[in-house]
Amino acid sequence: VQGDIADPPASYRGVDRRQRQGMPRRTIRLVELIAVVTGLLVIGVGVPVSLLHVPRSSALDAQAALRDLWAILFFSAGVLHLVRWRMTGDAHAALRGCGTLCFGLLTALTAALAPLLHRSGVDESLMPITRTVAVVACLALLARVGRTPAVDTRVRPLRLLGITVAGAWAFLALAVAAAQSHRPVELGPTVWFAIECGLALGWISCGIRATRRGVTDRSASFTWMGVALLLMSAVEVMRALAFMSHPELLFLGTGVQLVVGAVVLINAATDLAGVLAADGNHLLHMSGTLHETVHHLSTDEQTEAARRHDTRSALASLKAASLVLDRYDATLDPQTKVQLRSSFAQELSRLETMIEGRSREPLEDYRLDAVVSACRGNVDGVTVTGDLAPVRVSGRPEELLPVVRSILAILGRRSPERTVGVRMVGAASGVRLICETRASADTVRDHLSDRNEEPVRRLGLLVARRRMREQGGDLVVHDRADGSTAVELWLRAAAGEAPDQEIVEAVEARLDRADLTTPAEHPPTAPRLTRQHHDEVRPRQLVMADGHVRRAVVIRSYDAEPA
Amino acid sequence: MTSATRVAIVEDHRLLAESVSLALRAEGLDVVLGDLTDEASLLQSLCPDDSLLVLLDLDLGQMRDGARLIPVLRAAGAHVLVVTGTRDTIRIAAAVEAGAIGYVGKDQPIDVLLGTVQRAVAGQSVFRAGERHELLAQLRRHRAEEGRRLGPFQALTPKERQVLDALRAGRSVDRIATDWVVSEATVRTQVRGVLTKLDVRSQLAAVAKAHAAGWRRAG
Repeated sequence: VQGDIADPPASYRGVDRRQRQGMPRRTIRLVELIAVVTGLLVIGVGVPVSLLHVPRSSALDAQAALRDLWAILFFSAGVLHLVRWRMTGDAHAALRGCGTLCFGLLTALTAALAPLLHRSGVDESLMPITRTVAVVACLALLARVGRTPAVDTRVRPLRLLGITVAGAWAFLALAVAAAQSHRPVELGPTVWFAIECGLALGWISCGIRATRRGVTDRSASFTWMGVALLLMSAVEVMRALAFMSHPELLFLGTGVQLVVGAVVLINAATDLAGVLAADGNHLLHMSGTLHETVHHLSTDEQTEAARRHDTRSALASLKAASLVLDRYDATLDPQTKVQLRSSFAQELSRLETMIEGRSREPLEDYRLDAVVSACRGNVDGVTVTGDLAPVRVSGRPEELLPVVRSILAILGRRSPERTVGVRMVGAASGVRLICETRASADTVRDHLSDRNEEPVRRLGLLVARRRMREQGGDLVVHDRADGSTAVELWLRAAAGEAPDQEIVEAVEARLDRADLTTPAEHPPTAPRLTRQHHDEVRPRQLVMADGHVRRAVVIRSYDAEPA
Repeated sequence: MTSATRVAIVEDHRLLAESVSLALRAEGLDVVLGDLTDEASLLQSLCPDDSLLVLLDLDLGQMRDGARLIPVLRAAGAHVLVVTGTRDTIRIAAAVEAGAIGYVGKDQPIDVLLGTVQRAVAGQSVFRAGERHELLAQLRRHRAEEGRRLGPFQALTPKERQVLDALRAGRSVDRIATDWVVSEATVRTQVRGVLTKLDVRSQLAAVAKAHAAGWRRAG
């Protein structure tokens, strides 16, 4: 019975980007183009015009300066969002970056181009055109928000109302702008009041949406964005009131805009810092893993170099011995010759072992309980419990011991009580040593390539499984329905130790066949399943004694595929 | 070079040592096998002087690197001929620099080994023309390259090396501070020292530089 294992969840610290949304390459190019053009516009047009613009009345100057500052804040926030998007590929960051940049750009252009075109001051007839673009941008955001399925049904009418009103005003603003392009019309305060109210509605829709998402997702970023959008709606209300009766509110509204810009900028900076920190931690973690991998590879390389050197020396010694026996046969005394021939034969035997490796070494029969008992009691602070029956198995006890120790350490570290139970059951092919804990299999699978400061003392599950297979056994991780985990070490029974068929059947019936094994890494000698044999894999359900239904995967038979 | 009258074999491969000793004895040389229990026993068994030619393996198993015996043997007046299975020319060059009169690869036919020993015993050079010079030049180039690569790491203090090593192992600053029972500020100061000396701007860049340079903390 075999299962397949999914990729283990990556150890992750910081912002979760595993489910990040990708963007089409064309969109990415477009966003990049917008960012570049925006930057060039601000640098090439905004700055010189700001420096050269003609003097105006002090109130207008102050307001224009505040507007410039507001534009810079928004523009900076947009750039930070785009940087975050470039680092993470998060579509939301790109959307926010584009939106923020557009607003910053519009404000900058309004402040910069108005004095250039109308030297007597800011001509308010220009405002509807720029505001129209702002309304369209709001509508785009609303359309994006409206496409999101997870909307509370109670909010839907409000959302519909907001979109309708904003859409109507956008249409009206567009019509007014088109009419003004042919015949400039002096707009009255009432029209301005209506435009500002429309904008306020648009900001409120977006703000509520962002705040709700912030609360739902527990995202500080969205919450602050919602606060900024709601503040923007307050700004528009102040402007509307300023046109009707209180002109001083116009100045106050511009001041609040600055607060909004600061909030947006800080929010973007915080997001980016979070990504940088997460990426830094992640990369540092990866570098640690890389270091360990390099260490293992280096150790393997050194071992291999030593083996090669030993083989070379063995060959040289065999050649030298052969030459001596051949060339100096007449001069050597009989005892020396016998001794040399004996050494020659021993060296040949050793050379064969070096070439073939340990897999050719014979397995020995030993008492499993005696080996496992060495791990009983307390291993690395982990309490090991269970009674072991005297059972003889076939294998290499010196290789089993570190495997058992590692499994107990891995399970124990993840167990809430730091306790691991050990028991043995007979099975069809031999004996199963079962190590059980209440830790979940997910956390146990994190130790596929177990990383710690003492890599020599503990083996990852991958290495442990390979060692078990080298001695004719296997290692399987079982993820039980009650959340506990069992790691089974399968060992071959010693010669003459026939398994009890009843026990075998009981064990087979109790095992959870939907469990996962360690990664599908087959040793060179293991049979590989062909496509034809995969067809013989059948899903099945097993009803357990406790009434639970477990999924099962049963492979009826398989053959070794020729190499 | 004065001629030698005795030959000592310092080789952890017993069959090879015995076979070569039998062949050399058959050629009329006085051969002794080195005791590889430890360095003192070895020197005692060899009784090194200027009449001794030592056939020295560079990989002595339990006694590790045989090259470190060369200065000791040379100081006692013995001549050292390296007989090695390694193909690392830098190691061989280092042995020659330390005072070895030549080297023979174990992958060479046994007659080549016997012929080289005969020449060495007779006081003749065992190097081809220019071979020794070429080996030493190669060693100098290697050291220059290594010095250029690892130069910045030489400037690190022992504590900064420990910090860099911990960063390479994937440990964060707070974790290092906890493990070493010091404040985070202390570790951050050491990290800043590492970054400054390695001329990098982030911990990750420092780790990457260490990996790229093949730096390993001594000890």
